[in-house]
Amino acid sequence: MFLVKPDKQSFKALNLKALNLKALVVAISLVSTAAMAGQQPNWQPVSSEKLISLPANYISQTIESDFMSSPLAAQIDALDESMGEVVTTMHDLKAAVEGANADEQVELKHQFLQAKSDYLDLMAQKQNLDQKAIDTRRKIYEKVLGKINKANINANSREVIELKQMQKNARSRMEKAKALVDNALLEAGDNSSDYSNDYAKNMSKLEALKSAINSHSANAGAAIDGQTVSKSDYVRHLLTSLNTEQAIFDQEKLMLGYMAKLVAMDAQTLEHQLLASSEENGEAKAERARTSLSGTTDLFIAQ
Amino acid sequence: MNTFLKATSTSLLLAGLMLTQYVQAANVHSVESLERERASLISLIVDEKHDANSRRQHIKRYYRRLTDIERMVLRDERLVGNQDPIVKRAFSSYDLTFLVHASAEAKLDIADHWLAQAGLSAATVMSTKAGRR
Repeated sequence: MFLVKPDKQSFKALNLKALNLKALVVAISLVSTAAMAGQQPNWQPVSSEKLISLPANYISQTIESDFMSSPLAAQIDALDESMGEVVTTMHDLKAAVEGANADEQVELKHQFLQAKSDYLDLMAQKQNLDQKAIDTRRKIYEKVLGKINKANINANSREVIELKQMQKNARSRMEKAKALVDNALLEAGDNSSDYSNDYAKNMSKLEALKSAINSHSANAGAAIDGQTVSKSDYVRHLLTSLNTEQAIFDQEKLMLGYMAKLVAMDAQTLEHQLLASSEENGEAKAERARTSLSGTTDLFIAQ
Repeated sequence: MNTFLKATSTSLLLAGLMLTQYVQAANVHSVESLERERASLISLIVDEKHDANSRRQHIKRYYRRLTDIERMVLRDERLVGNQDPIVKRAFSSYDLTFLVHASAEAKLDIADHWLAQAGLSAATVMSTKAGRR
């Protein structure tokens, strides 16, 4: 709907815009597929063997730190930055559309739609990379959990428990017989050895080191809601949190789909408006007349 | 700067863990060493070239070394729960493995203790007969 009737030149420009808008509709429909071709940035996370040896509360921190230094995170950051710029442009265009005259409005609306399309395109790329990061995190957590569970099963097997009990009994028997052996050595005039001297010297230092390790903050057990939990419980909690993140992410994907649909509908509406105004002006009818059958009859009659 | 510090601390953490794993890696050298000493001692016990006196003198030389090695094995925390067959076998028979401490506990000479544990006593030896099979 135009307040000022455009001239012939303007109509040609408007027709071009209509063509552009058609292309825009096609481009937007592709956005929802979010299948990005070409080389994708990668994230090769730290191995699960290293992670299981970490204190539970360091596992997620290490994974996050590893992710932050990956090309995948760098690409996501770059996309975020580009999206920020597009959002600023969109705000500017929105304000400009509101204050523009009819002629300028068509051009600005077109630019606004193009900016929306660019934003959705970038968002689709970002979501694709975010999904990749979530999938990688899930895989690594599942691997770590599998290994922790396996280690727990091994550590709690009947054989291991029996062996540990035998070792405990053996140590206890040795401690009881220690004085008898030392006496026998003393009687034989052999009261010390390098091992016994160094062992006694190192023992107090070893105990001090053990005590420092036990009281170190990094050795504190992982906690969920203030409750100390086992490593496997903590990793399971991380996996559950990841599933929550995925659920929110799926919702955002749906939002992107709806936004893409809205932009497509806006583009379609603008296209229809342009075509309708062009027909109102009679130009379309005139163009059709020029290519009508009656206009070519002279060509056939002439000998 | 912050990113650099983060990256450095992560590297240090991983390096520390790798070193810890290396130090705590399953290592059965102490048990192997004990088995070698024990085998050598048993060879001496059953060696017919020695009379009782000479055998006792030779065993004395093993006593200090075996005492230390037995204590090393019994105090070795890396062996706790270690499923290596050599570790399982060593701890499944305290009396035959830790000869110095077990013999002191039984108030017997090492050789007598080992012979008793192996089921070889003067009576059983005397009750045997030499003959053709």
